[in-house]
Amino acid sequence: MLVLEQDIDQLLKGCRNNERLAQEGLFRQFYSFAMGIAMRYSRDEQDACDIMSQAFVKIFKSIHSFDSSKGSLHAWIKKIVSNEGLDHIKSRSRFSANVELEKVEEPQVNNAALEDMGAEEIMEIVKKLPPATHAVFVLYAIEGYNHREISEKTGISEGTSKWHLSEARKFLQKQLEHLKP
Amino acid sequence: MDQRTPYELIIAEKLQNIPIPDMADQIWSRVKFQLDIDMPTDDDSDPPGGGQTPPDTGFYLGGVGLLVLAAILAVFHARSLSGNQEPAPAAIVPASNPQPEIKSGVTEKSGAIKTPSAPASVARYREYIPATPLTGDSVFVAGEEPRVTLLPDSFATETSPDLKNDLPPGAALTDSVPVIPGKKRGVSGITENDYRIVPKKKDQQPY
Repeated sequence: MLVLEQDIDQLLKGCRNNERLAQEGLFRQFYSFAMGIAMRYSRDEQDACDIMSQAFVKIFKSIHSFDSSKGSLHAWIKKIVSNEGLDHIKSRSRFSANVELEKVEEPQVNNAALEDMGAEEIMEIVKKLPPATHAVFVLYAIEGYNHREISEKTGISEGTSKWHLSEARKFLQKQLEHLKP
Repeated sequence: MDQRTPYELIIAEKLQNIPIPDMADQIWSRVKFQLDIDMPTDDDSDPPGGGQTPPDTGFYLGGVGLLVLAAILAVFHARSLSGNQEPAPAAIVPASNPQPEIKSGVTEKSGAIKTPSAPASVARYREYIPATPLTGDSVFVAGEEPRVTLLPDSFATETSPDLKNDLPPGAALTDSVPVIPGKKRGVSGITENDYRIVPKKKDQQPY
């Protein structure tokens, strides 16, 4: 781990000097990590490629603003990739701002069936969500943001964020019911 | 209210281990392309588009420039060669080679060397054929006294029209000197040595 940190420091130094080799090294070092985040916001692999390429261009352009004392490089990259994924979803659809929900419903879901499902299978179900609902569900259920934070990131109200989450849960329940033996 | 449900936690855990497609090269090429545009390197050694792009445009331009230059040089060379193939002007004997002194009215032979393309109107100079077979010693060398031998009638060649008209019938020209058959050759009191052509000195030449 110590060797890896030294390598990352050298890569960061090279990236600040606009060295292509260092930039490529940093990209490949964090490729798997960032790609996993990008795929949560994308409908297919090409979408994920778009998100990744745009995110890393922003990373290298703003590499001088990264301060290791304020957080880890992983968290910084995750934030940039998530924001880029969110912008990508926004470019495809508008977030409904006229629907409000006070309390989010919690439908019953077969957790056992969900446990037996693979990651790709679950991903395919999530991708079927409408774009805005998909974004809110990912931000809430996977990224761990609360509704206030989601409203700040997406520009929608907390009520609208809750409505989208409720819609996502209903959809998942229906989808998982079909998987019952 | 903001608590995640158990199945959402399961979904989140599952999606942490989603298989990652191998698209690093494809994505990096796009990133590099954009960086070369937005943040070019100092040496500018990498062209936009990365290594997967076609060869450098400058390379093509340099090759085209070399081809154009080679074509221009070839044209100039061809022109110079065609200029050399033109009929060479009559070579003039260098001044260091003294002209032979022709006595007794023999038309002085100029040192001009006629080429096959000489116009027909110009009198063709005969070759001097010595009475004895040519040897290395008999070849005219600049500075030596050439030996001239008058040729018989059978060796008469073309002459200028004017000269032909002036000849008596039956006369054959040898060295542009009319030889009237039956008449005694030469003038009494003049020996063979008098017919020897001595090269004139430079300052004695009429031209």
